Amino acid sequence: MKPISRRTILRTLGAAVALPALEAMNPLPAWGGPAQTGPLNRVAWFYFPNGIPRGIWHPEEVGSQGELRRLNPWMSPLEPFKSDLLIPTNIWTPKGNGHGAGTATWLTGQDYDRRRVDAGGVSVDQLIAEEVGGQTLLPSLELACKGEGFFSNSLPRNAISWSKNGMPLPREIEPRAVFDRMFRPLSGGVTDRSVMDLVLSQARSLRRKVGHTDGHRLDEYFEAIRALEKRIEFAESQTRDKRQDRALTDSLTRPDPGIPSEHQEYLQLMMDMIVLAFWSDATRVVTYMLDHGQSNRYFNFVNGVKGTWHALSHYGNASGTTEDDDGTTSWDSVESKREMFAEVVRWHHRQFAYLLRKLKSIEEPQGGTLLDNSMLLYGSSLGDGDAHDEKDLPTLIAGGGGGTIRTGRQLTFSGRADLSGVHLAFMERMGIERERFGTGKGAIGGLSG
Amino acid sequence: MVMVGKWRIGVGFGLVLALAVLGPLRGERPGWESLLSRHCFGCHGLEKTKGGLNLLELAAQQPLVQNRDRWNQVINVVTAGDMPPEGEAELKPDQRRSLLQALDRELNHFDYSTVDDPGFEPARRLTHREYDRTVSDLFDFSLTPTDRFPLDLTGSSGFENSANTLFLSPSLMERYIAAAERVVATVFASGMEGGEVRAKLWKLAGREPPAGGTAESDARALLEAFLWRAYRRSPTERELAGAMDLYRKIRSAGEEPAAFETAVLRVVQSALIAPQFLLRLERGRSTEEPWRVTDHELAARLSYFLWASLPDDKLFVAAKRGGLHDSETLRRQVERMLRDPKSEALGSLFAAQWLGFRYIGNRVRLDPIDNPWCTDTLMNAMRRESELFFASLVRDNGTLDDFIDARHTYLNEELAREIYDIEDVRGPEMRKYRLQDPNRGGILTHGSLMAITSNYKETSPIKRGNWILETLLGRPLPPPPPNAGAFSEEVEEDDSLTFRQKVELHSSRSQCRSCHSLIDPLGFSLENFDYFGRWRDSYLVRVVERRDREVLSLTEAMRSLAWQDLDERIADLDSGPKERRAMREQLQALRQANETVLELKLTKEYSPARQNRLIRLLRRLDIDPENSELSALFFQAIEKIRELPQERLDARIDRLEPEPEERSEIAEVLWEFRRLPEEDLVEELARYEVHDRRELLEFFERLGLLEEGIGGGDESRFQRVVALRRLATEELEERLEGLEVNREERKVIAELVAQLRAIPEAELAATIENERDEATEDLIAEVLVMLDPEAPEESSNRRGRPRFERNTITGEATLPDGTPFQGSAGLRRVLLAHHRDDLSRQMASKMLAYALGRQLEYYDEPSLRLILKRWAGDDYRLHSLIYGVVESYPFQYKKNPESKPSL
Repeated sequence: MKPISRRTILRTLGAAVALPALEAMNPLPAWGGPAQTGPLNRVAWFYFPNGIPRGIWHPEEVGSQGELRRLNPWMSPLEPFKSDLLIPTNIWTPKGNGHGAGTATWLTGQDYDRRRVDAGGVSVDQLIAEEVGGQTLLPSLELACKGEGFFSNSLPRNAISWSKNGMPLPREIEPRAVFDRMFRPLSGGVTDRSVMDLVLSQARSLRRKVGHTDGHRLDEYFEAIRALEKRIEFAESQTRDKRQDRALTDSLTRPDPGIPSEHQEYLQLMMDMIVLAFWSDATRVVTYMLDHGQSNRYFNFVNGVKGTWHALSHYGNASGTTEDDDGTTSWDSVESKREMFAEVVRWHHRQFAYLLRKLKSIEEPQGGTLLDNSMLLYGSSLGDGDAHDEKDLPTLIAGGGGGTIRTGRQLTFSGRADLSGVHLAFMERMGIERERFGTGKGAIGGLSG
Repeated sequence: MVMVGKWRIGVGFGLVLALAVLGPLRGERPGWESLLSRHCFGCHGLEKTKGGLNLLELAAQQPLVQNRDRWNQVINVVTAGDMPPEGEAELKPDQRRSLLQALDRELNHFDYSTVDDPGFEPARRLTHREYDRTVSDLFDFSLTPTDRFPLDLTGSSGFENSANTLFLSPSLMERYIAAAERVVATVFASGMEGGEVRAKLWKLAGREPPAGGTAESDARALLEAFLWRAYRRSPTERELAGAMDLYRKIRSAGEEPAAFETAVLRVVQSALIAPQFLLRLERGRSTEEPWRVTDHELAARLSYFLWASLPDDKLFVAAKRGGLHDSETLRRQVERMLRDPKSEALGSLFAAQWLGFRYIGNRVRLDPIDNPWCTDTLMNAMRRESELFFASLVRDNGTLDDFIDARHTYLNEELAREIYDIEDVRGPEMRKYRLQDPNRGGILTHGSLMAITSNYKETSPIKRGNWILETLLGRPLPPPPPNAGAFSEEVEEDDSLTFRQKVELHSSRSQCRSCHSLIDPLGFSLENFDYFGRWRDSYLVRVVERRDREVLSLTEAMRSLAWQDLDERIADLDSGPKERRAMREQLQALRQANETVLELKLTKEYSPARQNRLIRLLRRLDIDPENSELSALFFQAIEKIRELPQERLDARIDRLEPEPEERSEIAEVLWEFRRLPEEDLVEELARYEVHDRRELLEFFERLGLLEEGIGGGDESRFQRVVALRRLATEELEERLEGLEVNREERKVIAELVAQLRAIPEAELAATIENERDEATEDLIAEVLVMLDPEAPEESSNRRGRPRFERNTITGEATLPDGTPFQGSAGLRRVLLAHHRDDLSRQMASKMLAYALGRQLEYYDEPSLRLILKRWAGDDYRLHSLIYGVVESYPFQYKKNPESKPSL
C-alpha cells in the first residue's frame, strides 16, 4: 500500500478547530533527523536575573587539580551532580551591563542600543541554531517564565536571543504551547501548498515595491514562512527511529493549558519540555529565562523568605526597597536580607537540579545519558546583586557536551575571563569555528580539561 | 551640513583622527570642538569611554540637538565644575564659559529651518491590540485571538505601537496561522448552512448578491471586497487573480468539488496570513526627497491612530476618490471618525499608556482577601473612568483646560460609592456625572491616577510630584544622587516626626533641595487623596509612645550579660567601625550607671525616639526581654527556696502528691538550688533553655514559690475574661488590629474572642474552669496576654501596640518661587496658569509619537511647534490638536532614511 503523505493527513484535517487529542489521532510526531552516528550534542542556556550575594558560588573544597570535593551550603541542591558540573571563576562581560542592557546582551557579548533596539548582533544560541537547526524539527526553542514585576513589559529585560535580522525572539511562556510546537501538527493554511505559493509569490512582488527598510520586515516574513515550511518538509522526511522508543512515547503527556499557579510546578513543567525536546531531538538549542531581567517576583512561598526578588537583591540596605518594588516588605537586618536572597538563589539551584536529574536518567541509544550529550550554561548577567556589577558572574556549566567537556571541576581563571569566550567555546563544540564573538577574542581554554 | 557619516573612526587611532573629524567643523564654528578634543576626549572618546560616554562619537553626530539629553548632562557637569575632574586637563574660566555658550547655542538656539525631514517608520506588524480590533471590525464580530500570544513589549517611544519593536518572528507567524483558522471558524461556525455563510459574506462585503451572477463572478466580487478591506487598499489585478486561482484550485481539488463557500472561506483565511494584512506596508520610492504617502496609506495611518483598527467603508471610499490630503476632506473624516465609538482607543490605548492607568487591576491591585472592596469590577471601572474621560474629551472637542479641570467624570454605582463617596449613582454602567465637589475635577483627581502614583497602601507625595513633572509636564528631573533615596537613619527613626516633616527635612539637604522644591509641593497638594484616590480630611499618625518599661527591662538584661559576650555580639553586627564604637560607648555608659540613675536616665532623659533606637539596638544584639523577665521570676523563686526552712519546703512538695520516684527527683533539683553559692546561680540558670525554665517556673508556681502566677490560674484567668467581655467593641477591634499576627491567626483570635464574649454570664465560670482541651486553654491564656483586657486603655500600648491620632491634611503647598497654593483645586490652577506650555507640549508630543508609532526626533521639532501654535490659536480645543497631528509633515510624508553614520 502506498504510504499516505503527511501533508495529505494534515490537509484532510483542514480547518478543523478543535484538534483531536494526541493519542486519538495517533499522529507520528515530527521528531528525529536522519539516523545519527556518534553522540549528539545539544546546548541550552538558563538565565536568571538579579545576580547573587557574592561569595555563595564558590565551592567549599576543591582538589589540587580543581576537582569538586564539596560545593557549599547554598549550592547544596547541586551536590549530587557535582561530577557533572564545571564551575568557571572570574567570568565577566566588558560591555552591556545592568538589568536592561545586561540581559539583552548576555548572549551577544556586545552593547545594547536602546534607541535602535539593537543588541549588537546575533546571539550565540541563534548562531548555533543556524548551524545545526536544519537537522531538527525546530532550529531552537526560546522559553521563559511569565515575568513578574514592574518591568515585565520591558523589551531588553525580556530578550536574550537575537536573530540574524536583529530581531529579539519572543519567548514561549506556556508549557502547552511548547509541547504543541513539538508534538502536534501545524494546522491551517500553511499546510496547503497552493495557499503558501500564493502568499509567498505575492509577498515577493511586494518586496520589490516597498522601500529598502520596509523590506526588512518582509524578509522577516519570508524567514518565518520558510521556517514553517521546513518544519513540514522535515516532518515528512523523518525517520521512524524515535517512534519505536516506547519510553519516550509514553512520556508524552500534553500539559494543561495556561500557566500553573505554583511557581515551582511551572518552572519544572518547562524543564520537562526541555527534556522532551532533547530526548525526541525536536531541537538541540534551547534558551530559557527563569524570569525577566529585573524580576520582582514574590518569593514568600519559599520557607524563611519574604519580599520580592529584585528588592532582595539589593540586600545592602535592609530597610530599603527598590523603585520597582511595592514597598510592602521590610527586613530586620542586612544579614537576614542577604540570607533570604541567598535562599532564593538556592531555590533556583533546586529547580536546576531537577532538570539535571531528569537528563541524567535517560540513556541514549548511541551511549551515554542525555546529560552526557548536552552542555548547559546556567547563570546571570549580574555579579553581585547589590553591588550591581559585572564581575565574577555566577556561571555554571553542566553536562559532558558529547564528550567534549571534562566536568567535576572548578575552572579557575587568574585574570578576568570574558563570557564571550565561553560562548566561543560552546560554538566550537557545535561545529562553528570562529576567532571572535562579541568582545571575545578566542574561546576560553580548559573546558576539555 | 558636514557629512560626518562618511568618516569611519576606529577606537585607538589617537588624536590625529579626532582632529581629522573635527577639522572641517572647525572652519565653521571654531572653538568648542577643540576644547572638547583637548579636555574631554582623553577619557571620553579616544581610547576610553569612561562612564559609557563617548564624546567623540557624540560630537560627530550633527546637529547636536539630536542628542539633546546627553549634551544637557555634559552641560550640567561642566557647569557644576565636576568635569573635567581635578588634576585632568583643567578648563580656564573663560574656556569653560565659551564651551558652555557654544553648546547652549547648538542646543537651544538651533535653526530648525535648515531641517527638512519627515522621518521614516519601518513597516511594522499590527500590535496585538490592533490585530484584535482589526479582525473584529473586518468580520463584524467581537474577537480576541491574541489573548494567548507572547506579549507585545514596550520600546523607547513608550507605546506598544512603536514600529521599531514590532518584529515578526517564526513563532508569532505560527500564532497568526492558527489565529486565522480560528477566526474564520468562529465567525462562520460549523453549524452554519451554506446559504447563511453566503449571506454573511455579502453583508460583510456591503453588497447585495447580483442577480444572475455565476459562482465565479460572485467569488470575484466577494474576494475583491474582502481583500480591499483586509489589505487596506484596492487589491492589485495580480493579487485578485491569485486569489481566484486559489479559489478555483480548492473548488476542483479532491474527488468531489468543494462547496462555493468552503473555497471562498479558504481564500479569506489565506488573506489573513498574508503580509499585506499582518504588516502595515507602505509603497517605497527610490528618491532622496521626501514624498507624500498615498491616500490609502494616509487612510490607514488615520484609522490606526484614531481607532487602532482598519479604515471603515466611508474612509475607504474617500481614499479611493482621492483628495484625502485635502484639508477640508481630511477634517470632515477626522470629525466623523472621532464621533465613532471606535475612537475610544484614544482613551484605552493612547491615554492609558501615556498616563499609565492601564496598570490598574493588574500591577496596581490590593490583595482581595484583605480588601474585599477591591474587586475586579471596581478596578475595571477605575480604568474605564479615565479612558472614557479622555476619549470623550477628544470626541466632544474639549480643551486642555478641561483635561485638567473639567467639572465632570464617568462613574458607575460601585466606583461612585467606593472611591468618590457619591450616593446618587445606580447600576453598573458607566455614565457621565457632573461633579459638585470642588476638590474633584479633571483627570488628576481620578482614583486611577492617584492609585498608580501611590505605594502599596500609602500615598507617596514624591511619587506623585515626580509623576506630574515627568509624565504630565514632560520635565523629568535628573535621577537622585547615589544614597539620596532614603532618609538618614536619624530622621527615619525619629517617630516624633510626621512623614511630611521627614520629607521636608530630607529635602532640605543641599543636594536634594533643587529637585525636591519642585517635586514636593505638587505631591503634597494631593495628600487629601489616599492611595486609591479616596478623600480624607486627616490621616492617622502614629502617636509616639514612651516605652519606659520595655527599655528598662532590656537594659537590665543587657547589664546582666558579661561584657565580653556583649562585645562579641557587637562585633558580629553588620555595621561600620565608627558605629560600633558609638554603640560600645553608649552601652558601657548604661552599664556603669547605678540602678536609680539608670531608671531616671532612661525614662526622663531619653526621648521616645531615642528609646526606640536603643530598643532596636538591644534587640539586634539578641537581648531577649522575655528571657530576662523569666530570669527575674526565677531568681525570685530561688530566693524563696533558699529562705524557706527545709521542712516547710518538704511539706509543700508533699501537697503535690508526687510518686516516690518523682519526689526524690524534685528534692534533688531543689537541693541543688539551695546548695549553690549565689555567684554560680547565673551560670546554673544559663544551662536551662527558655522552654525548660518555663517548665521549672510552672513547677515553682505549684509549690507556691511565686507571688504572682505567670500565666494566671483559673481565678485570675476568669477575671481577665470578664474584663475582656467588658471592653467596648471598638476598643477590642483596635486592639485586635494592633496585634502583630498574620491574617489567619487574627481570624482565629477574633473567633475565640467572639466565643468568649458570647458565653452567657452565668455559665462563664463553669465553662472556663471546665475547659479541658489543653490547646484551647493555652490559646485562651495567650490571647489574654496579648489583648491585656485589664490594662487601662492608655497604658495598654506597652505591649507594643501602636496608637494613632488624627492629623488634619490641609493640602497647603508653596511653589519654588514662593507662591502658595492649596489642594487639588490650587494645583489645577497652578498647572494651567504656570505650566500650560509644558502641559500642551507634552500632550502634543506624546500624541504625535503615538500617531507616528515612533519616538520623536529633533527634526520633528518644527512640526511640533506648528501643531502647538495652531492648537493655542484655537483655545486649546482638542480637535485642533488632532488636526494638527494628522496634517503634520511627518504624518503625511515620509523620506528614505539616510544610512546612519557608522562609527
